[in-house]
Amino acid sequence: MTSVDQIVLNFVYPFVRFNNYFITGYFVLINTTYILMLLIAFKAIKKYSHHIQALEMKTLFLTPFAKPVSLLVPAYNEQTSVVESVKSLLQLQYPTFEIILINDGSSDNTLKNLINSFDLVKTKNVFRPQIHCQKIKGIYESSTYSNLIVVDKVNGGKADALNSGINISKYPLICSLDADSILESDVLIKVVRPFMEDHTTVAAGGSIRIANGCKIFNGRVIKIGLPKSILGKFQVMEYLRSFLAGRMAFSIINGLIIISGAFGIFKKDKVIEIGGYKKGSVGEDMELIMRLHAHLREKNEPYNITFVPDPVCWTEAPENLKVLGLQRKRWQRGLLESLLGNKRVFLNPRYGIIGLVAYPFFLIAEGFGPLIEVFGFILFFVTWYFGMVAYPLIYLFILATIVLNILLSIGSIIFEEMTYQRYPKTSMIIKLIGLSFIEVFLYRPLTVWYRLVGIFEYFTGKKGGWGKMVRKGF
Amino acid sequence: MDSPKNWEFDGFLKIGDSFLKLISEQVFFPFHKHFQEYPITTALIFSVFILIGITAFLLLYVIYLRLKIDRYQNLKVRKFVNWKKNILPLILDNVDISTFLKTFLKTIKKGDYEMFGEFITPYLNDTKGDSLERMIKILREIGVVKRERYHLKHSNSTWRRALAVRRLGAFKDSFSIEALVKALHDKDITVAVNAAGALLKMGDRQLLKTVISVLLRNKFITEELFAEALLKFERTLNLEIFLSQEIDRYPISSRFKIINLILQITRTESGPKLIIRLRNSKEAVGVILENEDLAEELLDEIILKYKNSEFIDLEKILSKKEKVYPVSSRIKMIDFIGYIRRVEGIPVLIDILKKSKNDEETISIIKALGNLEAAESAPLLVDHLESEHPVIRAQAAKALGVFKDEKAAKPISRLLEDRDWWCRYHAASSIHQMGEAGKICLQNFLKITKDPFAKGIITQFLSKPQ
Repeated sequence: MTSVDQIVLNFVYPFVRFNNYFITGYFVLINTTYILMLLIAFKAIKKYSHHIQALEMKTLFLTPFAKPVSLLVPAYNEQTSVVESVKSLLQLQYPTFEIILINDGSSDNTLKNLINSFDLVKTKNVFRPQIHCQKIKGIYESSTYSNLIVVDKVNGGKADALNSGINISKYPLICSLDADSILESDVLIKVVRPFMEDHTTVAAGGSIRIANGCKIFNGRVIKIGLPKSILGKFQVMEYLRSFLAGRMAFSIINGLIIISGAFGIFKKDKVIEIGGYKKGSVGEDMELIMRLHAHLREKNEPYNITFVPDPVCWTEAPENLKVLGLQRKRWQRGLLESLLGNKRVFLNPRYGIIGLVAYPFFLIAEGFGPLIEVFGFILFFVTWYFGMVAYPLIYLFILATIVLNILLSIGSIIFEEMTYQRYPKTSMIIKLIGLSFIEVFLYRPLTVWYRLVGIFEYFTGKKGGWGKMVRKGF
Repeated sequence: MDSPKNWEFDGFLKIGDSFLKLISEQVFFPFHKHFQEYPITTALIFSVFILIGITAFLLLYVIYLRLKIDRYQNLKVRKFVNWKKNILPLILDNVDISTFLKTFLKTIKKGDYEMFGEFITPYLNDTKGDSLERMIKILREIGVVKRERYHLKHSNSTWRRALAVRRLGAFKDSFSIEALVKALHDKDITVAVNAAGALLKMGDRQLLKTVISVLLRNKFITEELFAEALLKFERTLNLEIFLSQEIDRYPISSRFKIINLILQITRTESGPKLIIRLRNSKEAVGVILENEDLAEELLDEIILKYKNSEFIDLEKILSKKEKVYPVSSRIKMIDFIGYIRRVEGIPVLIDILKKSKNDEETISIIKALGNLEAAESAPLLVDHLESEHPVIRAQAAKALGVFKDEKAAKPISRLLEDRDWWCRYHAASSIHQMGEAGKICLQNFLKITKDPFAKGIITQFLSKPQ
């Protein structure tokens, strides 16, 4: 036996063996968790849909006690979609709300388009500077719509724009939205409901769906469709899984650590208590929720952060690789920033379910998941090189990956069918299920790669910002 | 070198192996040998096949679900059209019940009763008087009411109970009162609140007392849900809801103003909405509004009834000691009195405000007094401008603004330099509401103040039209 053989026998084999166990263990653990989440979400969604049926929606719209809401819409170079978005928001059915659109130093015609479309007039309004934000150049009010305010400010990033919106807002609940968000008309009453039923609710999020392929008229989705591109369709499936299964399950155990910035509602005083959104943050939405959890657990204050599956916000998804890549890298940097910025929570029993379940899960599966997946891939080649491949197991592994992906996708579609049935044609459902067969080979590696780059960018200190999302407009 | 293919057998998996072998011997007898040789691999293969089986089943289930839902929706559309055409006119027309039942039983099978309940409920909500009574009688005859009563009493599903309660409320089924009162104590708040709504829809004074008493003792029912339930008590609240929602800032005591306003509004865009709402009331308001010559006289009568109506009980409850109802319950009532503008509650509220040592209760009363435009409470509110609690100071300034009493401008103006933003905001807003005198007060203050925050807020209000 040569010395090389000895090294291989004594070091390489044990190393590879150990890591094979590690990868297999990771795979089993993560997928078992996903299946468990699917089961929890199934029960929760059923309960929620029953709850909604038992309410008299007509009286909910008339209730004078519905808490007033300030909708905060940060916009940066959104000239193509901003007017339509505001029109959509103005049509919301809700007793009392104001729309605060924050123009975060756009270099395009965002402000000009708004001034022309809504007869905006500059005011001398002062505001309560409760959270530090960049200089506000002007506050505009609409002569046509009394509940529309536009804030023009020096560029400071999305978190800073939201903070300035909080300062200007006058109502006790704030709702963060993206400038390209299109809300269904009854969303606010549904998403505010948890705040009325339970005063410990401090934040609630709704579902995000992809608007690409839908027919939109006058700021409303009038016909639901699927995106034309395969990339868009993959994202439809991905969003269904993420919102209907993932977030619903974590919400039930009060372990929800993400509420999408595209549509989330918060108790303003609690957000102010923790100093608002973290300036310069890439994933300001998740970062805020993490801090809210940590702060309220440290104060031993009873609270609830919830997900409401029914209210839907439609948003434009990237349909080209470049923009998708930018988005996913930004999300990954944001995720790591939120998690690693609150390290004290990790496996700390003081933070309950957040410290012991939600945080570790997100750190392992979402934060460093791409690293583990790529490592597994490299390990496969090493195993193959040293002739250690147990081929039946590899086939089994691939088969299990595909089957699990299909299982999770179908599970989410069942939730959708059981409750909201927003995709009207059977062919749409078949297409979505069909895509989950190939998703593992096409879409998954792509997102893993972007997320891996995101991890690299995070640790090498690449700064994020708004990103250059090229929007087609609706 | 060792064969690497058996890497699964070493180390920490030994316990797992033994366990799996045991299972293979006991359960998977035909695959016994495979398990003995490669336990982990065989277990994994089994797991994957089970997963494939579950996935295939779910795939079929999705297809089944889609077909089932499509079929149900199509059926529902067809049946609703049919029932609207053939059944609804029979219910609304004065056809005798036996003739109706014959047609009904021909058209509707027993399996359709659940769907029929869904069909008829919205019509019940929009129907009043004889037609409603007739509808309910028919629903009783065909067993729909009994069915809902059964679900309320025996269903283990919270959702089904909540739905049954809602429907029984729509049916105004007096035989279900006992079950509904019991449902008020349900541990699920949706069932409890729906039960409260259902009982209040029946318009019984005694039930109102029971509902208030039970709801206030349930700490999980928020003030929003409490108010939502109470507002279902249509008999005396229609007018108040209308006045609060549609005519802002008009005290209920000013009868002539109300009459004139209502008469004016009936001729404007809001008119039809108001008429529909008032006509739905069992009171004769709808009739009055259709006949303008009678309006003033009859409306006077209604307001007199209203003054002596059931909600005076709220004030009685409030007068009781805290032991009976905790502060949280008292706040719910105070908010509600403020919202529905019960002017009779003003003396009680003032009395509680004098004694109250609880900040939350104080804030709630000040808000209510503002809503009630209780000008007689002004001296007391001026005292509260000095409170240590910033929310109390701000709310006192806000309430004083509602009275538009110029005498309050001076004490309020002290808050223009308050350290709290809301105090400054409400102080400026209140003074601004006082018309020309307020404007002069703000201008004078702007000249003398050195506080940049006070300057900012005053400038903002001076730039606004009055």
